[in-house]
Amino acid sequence: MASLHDGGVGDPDAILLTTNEMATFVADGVLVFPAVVPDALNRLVLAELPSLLAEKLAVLQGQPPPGGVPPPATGTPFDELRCGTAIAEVLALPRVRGIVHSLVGPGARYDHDFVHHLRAGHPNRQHLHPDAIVDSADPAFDVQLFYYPHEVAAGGGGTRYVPGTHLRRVTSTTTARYQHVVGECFHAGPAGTIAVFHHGLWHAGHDNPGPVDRWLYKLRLNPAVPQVRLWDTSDLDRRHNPPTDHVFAAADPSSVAAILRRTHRWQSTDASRYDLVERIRLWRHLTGDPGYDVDRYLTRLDRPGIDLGADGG
Amino acid sequence: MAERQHVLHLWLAAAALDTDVKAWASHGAPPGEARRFDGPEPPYRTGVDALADGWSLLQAPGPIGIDAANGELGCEFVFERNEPIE
Repeated sequence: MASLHDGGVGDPDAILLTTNEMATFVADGVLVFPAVVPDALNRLVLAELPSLLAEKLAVLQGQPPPGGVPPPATGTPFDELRCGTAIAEVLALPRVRGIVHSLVGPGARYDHDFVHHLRAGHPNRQHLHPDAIVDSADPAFDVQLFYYPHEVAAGGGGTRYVPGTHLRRVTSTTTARYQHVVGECFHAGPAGTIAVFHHGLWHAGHDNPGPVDRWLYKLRLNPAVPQVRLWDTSDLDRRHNPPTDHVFAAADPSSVAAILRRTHRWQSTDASRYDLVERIRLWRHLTGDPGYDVDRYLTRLDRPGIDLGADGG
Repeated sequence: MAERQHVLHLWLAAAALDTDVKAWASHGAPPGEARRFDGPEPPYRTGVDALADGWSLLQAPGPIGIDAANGELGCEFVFERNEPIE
């Protein structure tokens, strides 16, 4: 396999994701980067978010945006978003550009953004949902950046999410029934934290039991190119295991397979295997390797009726 | 004494009552017990533990097809318990 360190072409300052982080994203559907935005910039954004929220609400109600500046249209290139604002400065940070480039590539397109504001003590709680209401089985995916410009304390009701649920084929109608899932997480972390979600990850806004208002800027991005080898692939040849890697035979504990096999508490043994198959399919897509496998699941499916070996079994 | 229905949904690891709770939802918990059913850990380890605590089983899952294996949490058991209205 060719070693392609191609993720940073055209943007040498971007801090790309590692193979370890990409495999973790495939397994969990989420990566969290604490305090990647400097405090001074967080404060500028916090001052800006009320007017951005007013813009979003005006558009939802069919009204002209306050101030007369039209909001960005869906399809706007990522690096042209909200020019001249503090939000644009956040999106231009090398770490943020690298996250976006690694997952949805150069020229990623704006889908939409939103500002979530929950007043102190507000009891509002969303039902658990993915953001994949209308979706296909195509492994291509959108990402959603969740940017928290202020600290969210533990127990402060930060965004709820369930790692590992992103590749399930479900509707929001169904996931709304689950008030709690074992292993669910509630965001807590310092100011300037950014979490990036696969669009299928089950999540929900939570009530705000704390004494301060909570603000969140959320941005959904679409890929504009095939999502193949866009991260820092300098170690991919070493980590990308051969399809013979099998946990009940010979397995390399430093391989991508070891990360994809990680289970979450909500998964039963059987369920974890179905989820693993979906992760393998996504890793095939991300690496452009149609023969990649873990524990022989897809190799077996790809060769129905002829998997008896040269000796005929 | 007047009573009201308290409904408990448990999604278990398999279609057997003695397997672990993976997800849950509760409607109609008495005020004093609301936190128990709305906390970070399940109110019972298994479905059998719920039976032992006085819950009546209303619904158990039927066969779960292989096509549904990568979708919803399928092994849903529904229980009820009548609670006194305080």
